Amino acid sequence: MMGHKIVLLGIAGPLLLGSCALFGLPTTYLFKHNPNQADPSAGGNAVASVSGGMVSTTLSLSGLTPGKAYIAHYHAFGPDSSTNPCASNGPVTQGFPNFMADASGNASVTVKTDMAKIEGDNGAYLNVHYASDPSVVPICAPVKLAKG
Amino acid sequence: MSRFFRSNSVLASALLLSSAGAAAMPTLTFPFKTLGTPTSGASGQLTVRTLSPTSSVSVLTLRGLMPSTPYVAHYHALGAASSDPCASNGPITLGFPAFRTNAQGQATVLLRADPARISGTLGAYVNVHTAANLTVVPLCASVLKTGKAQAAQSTTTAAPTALQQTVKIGDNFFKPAVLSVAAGTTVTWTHTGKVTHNVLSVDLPGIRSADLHPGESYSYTFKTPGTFTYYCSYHEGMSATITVTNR
Repeated sequence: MMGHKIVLLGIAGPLLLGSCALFGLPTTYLFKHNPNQADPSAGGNAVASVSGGMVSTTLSLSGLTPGKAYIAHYHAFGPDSSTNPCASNGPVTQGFPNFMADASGNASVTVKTDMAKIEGDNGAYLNVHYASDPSVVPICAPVKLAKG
Repeated sequence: MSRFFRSNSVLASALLLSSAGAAAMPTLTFPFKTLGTPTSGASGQLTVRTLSPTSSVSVLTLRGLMPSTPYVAHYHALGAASSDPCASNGPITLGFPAFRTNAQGQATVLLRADPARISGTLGAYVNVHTAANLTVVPLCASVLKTGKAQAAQSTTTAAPTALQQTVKIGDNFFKPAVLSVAAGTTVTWTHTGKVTHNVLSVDLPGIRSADLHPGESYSYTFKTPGTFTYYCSYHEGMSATITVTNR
C-alpha cells in the first residue's frame, strides 16, 4: 500500500508500541466499534510515525455519517479498567483538529504532537466522538493494552 | 538611546490601550529562573499582553537551552507544596505549543489564550520541560508574586468550616479550577454549559459521574486529605484539582 507495516493485525502492535521510541517505522492501530448503535459501519485505522521526538498520527475513517462533525482524541489509561483501555474512561491527552465526514462517510485527519504527551499510559487509546455530543463514541482504537 | 526606547514603548502601550479598549493591560514581563543546575546557562522571559477581556498573548523568549531539542512549556496553577509558585507543584492549566530549540539553543513560543484560563492562581507559574523527560525542568517563571497571600484569597471560596462547596462546569472548564476544602466536605458540580461533560478522576476512582447534561449536578464527599486531579474525559485540557485538608 503506502510502504508502512501493519503489525500483526493490532494485537502485537499495541504491545510493541507501549514505548513508541523504539521503532522508527510507522505503526497502525485498528479502530473497533464500541458497544453502541452510533454509525454501525464505522471503522478505520490510525497510523502513527515518530520523527525527532514528535509523533504524527493520521486517522483514516469510513462508515461515518456523511456531513457530520466529529472530534478525536488520544486518551490516557483511565480508572475504570487496567486491561481494556477503550473502557477505562481516561482523560484526553491530545486532541485532533475537528473534522467532518465527507459525502461518502469517509474522513482523514492528522495531528502532530510531542511523544512525551502520548507515550506509555498517556496514549492508551484513540476515541472518535460526535462533535455535537462527545458522550457518543462510535469507535475506539486500543494503543496500549494494559496499564502500567 | 534608552530614552528613545522608553518613549517608544510608552507610545506602543498607549496605542495598545487605545485600540483594545479600556480593559487592555500593558505588557507584563516575568523572568525565568534556572532550577537544578545553575551553571546550565539557560535564561529567558515570559511576556503577557492582554488584548481584550477574552484574548491574551503569552510569549516565551528562551536562550541557553540544549540546541535542536524538543521542549514543552505549561502554565501551572498554584500548588499546595509551597508559597513559592515555582516550588508549589501545581497542576498544568494550559500548555504552550510544543517547540524545538534552534541550533543555538534558543526558542520563541507564542500562546493565545482567554485570560480567564490563566488569571490569578490558575497561571501561577510557567515551567519549561524537556519533551523527552518531563521531570527535567530547566526554567521556571513565577507569575504570581505573593503566592501564599493570593492563594488565601482565591482558593478558599468559603471558610474551611463550610461543608458544602460548588464547582461550575462550563464549556470546557471547571470553575474554580483550584479548590481547597476540609475533609468531610461535599462538593457539588453543576453543569452550567451547553455540551455533555463528566467528572472523573484517576487519583480518586470513586469520583465518577454519569454523563452530565446542562442543568444536571453530581456530588462527592471528600474524606481523605490530599490533592486530587479530576477531569472531563470528553474535552482536552478540561481538568481541575481539589486539595482536601484535615479539619
